[in-house]
Amino acid sequence: MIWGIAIVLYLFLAGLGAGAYAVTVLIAHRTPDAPKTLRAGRILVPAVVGVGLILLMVDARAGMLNPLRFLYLVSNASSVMSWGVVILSAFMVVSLAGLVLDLAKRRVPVWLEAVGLAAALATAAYTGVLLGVVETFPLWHTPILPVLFVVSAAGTGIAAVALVGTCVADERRGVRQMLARTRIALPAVELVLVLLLLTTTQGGPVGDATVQSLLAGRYATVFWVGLVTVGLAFPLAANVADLRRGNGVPGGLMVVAELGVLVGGFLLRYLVVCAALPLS
Amino acid sequence: MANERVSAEPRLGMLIDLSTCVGCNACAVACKMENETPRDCFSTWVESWDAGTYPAVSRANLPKLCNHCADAPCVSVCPTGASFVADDGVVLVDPDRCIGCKYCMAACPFQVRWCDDETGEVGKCTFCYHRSSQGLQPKCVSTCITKSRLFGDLSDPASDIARRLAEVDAERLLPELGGEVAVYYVGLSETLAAPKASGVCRGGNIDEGRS
Repeated sequence: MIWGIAIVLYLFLAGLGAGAYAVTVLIAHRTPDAPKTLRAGRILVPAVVGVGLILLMVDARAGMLNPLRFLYLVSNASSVMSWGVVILSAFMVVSLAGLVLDLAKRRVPVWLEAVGLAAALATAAYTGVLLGVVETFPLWHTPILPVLFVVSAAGTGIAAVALVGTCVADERRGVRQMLARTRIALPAVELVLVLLLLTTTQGGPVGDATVQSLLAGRYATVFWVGLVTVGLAFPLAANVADLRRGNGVPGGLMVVAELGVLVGGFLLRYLVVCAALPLS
Repeated sequence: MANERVSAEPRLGMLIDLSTCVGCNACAVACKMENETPRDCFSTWVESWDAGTYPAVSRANLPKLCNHCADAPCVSVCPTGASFVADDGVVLVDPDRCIGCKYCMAACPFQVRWCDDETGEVGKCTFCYHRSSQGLQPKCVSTCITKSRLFGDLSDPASDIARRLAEVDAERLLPELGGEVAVYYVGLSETLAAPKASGVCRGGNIDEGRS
């Protein structure tokens, strides 16, 4: 295995940050009664992306030992990782600028939010394209991966901001009702995308062996229990029930469902990175 | 095949005859001593396994090394430009530019790159560039006890390797990936066709699941 938990966490946190940024923009425009949640979300975004970037640098040991080499990072325009450096830098700058304006009690201009949304989408998609261009691993080499990572980024971003909002007593209700239908749609779409990813994996016997290890082999428990049940099916069921009963599901259960979304987002990256087998 | 290219550019390459390789691993040892690769890191190795069904059994041996792809995925993904194609078509890593992101290791279709735990830098087969750029043979070639490895300029029709390639039906690994490689084999289909009857010894490790 070439990449380990540090890179898995980085992919997860970058996606989460991207999704959370989109949620803060939505809250800023549509939920005026949740200022504390909005502030917390604006702190959360650069914090999680920053932690992800630190993990990325720590994993690149030769760069850590010789930091000046990081200056070479944008010298190959054909490398998706170089694009990622530009995209993530832009996203960090824009999200930090939004936070600074918010802390200075100034309005975040709409154009800055638009740039931020574009950078957030690029960040979430980039984490999938980074792996997607690698032909050596059949599980990665598919256009579905960037779409799947964007959908998962949106889901984990909503869950993370919702969890933060739940901690603010007087904003709990508004946050809970936020994006109720989206919270149902995302895990449903993600389930379909995971199914598509596995049924369309190319690469002959190597691709088959990869899918086999996920469905019935070494990674089957993490896949079925962790990703499918805890990460997707349970949050989906909880949110459907909550919408039908008009927020009648106990709050504690909804918190567990949001935690499940985060666990699922992490395990999705873990399985994609670690279960993929190379062509040789 | 490669020898049909008409080009003034020199292109170093290797032809490995699997019908004479005995899997002695002298190439792997010679490479390790010559290039002083870190512990557990090999730039070439021999994959060996039992093939066939009793009584028609044999020992399959498949030496592996960097294929020095013309359009190398490791070079195109490298964000710092540390991986590059040198003169003579040899794929090299400039350690002074390498940050150790390991993207090249993931991109390599042949999985022949390694990362030095101590420095974090990535390394690989250089075709013994310090030797081959001076007209000498890579150490794995000059060491081989059965002369199974043939090395030279694929672009020069008069070279030993180009003349041999014209005579034999040479094959390459992962032909479905396309692009041009610089490492060819004699007897590859036969070696891969026989059903595996054992685990695969890969650089001193037994790999049960895959070839």
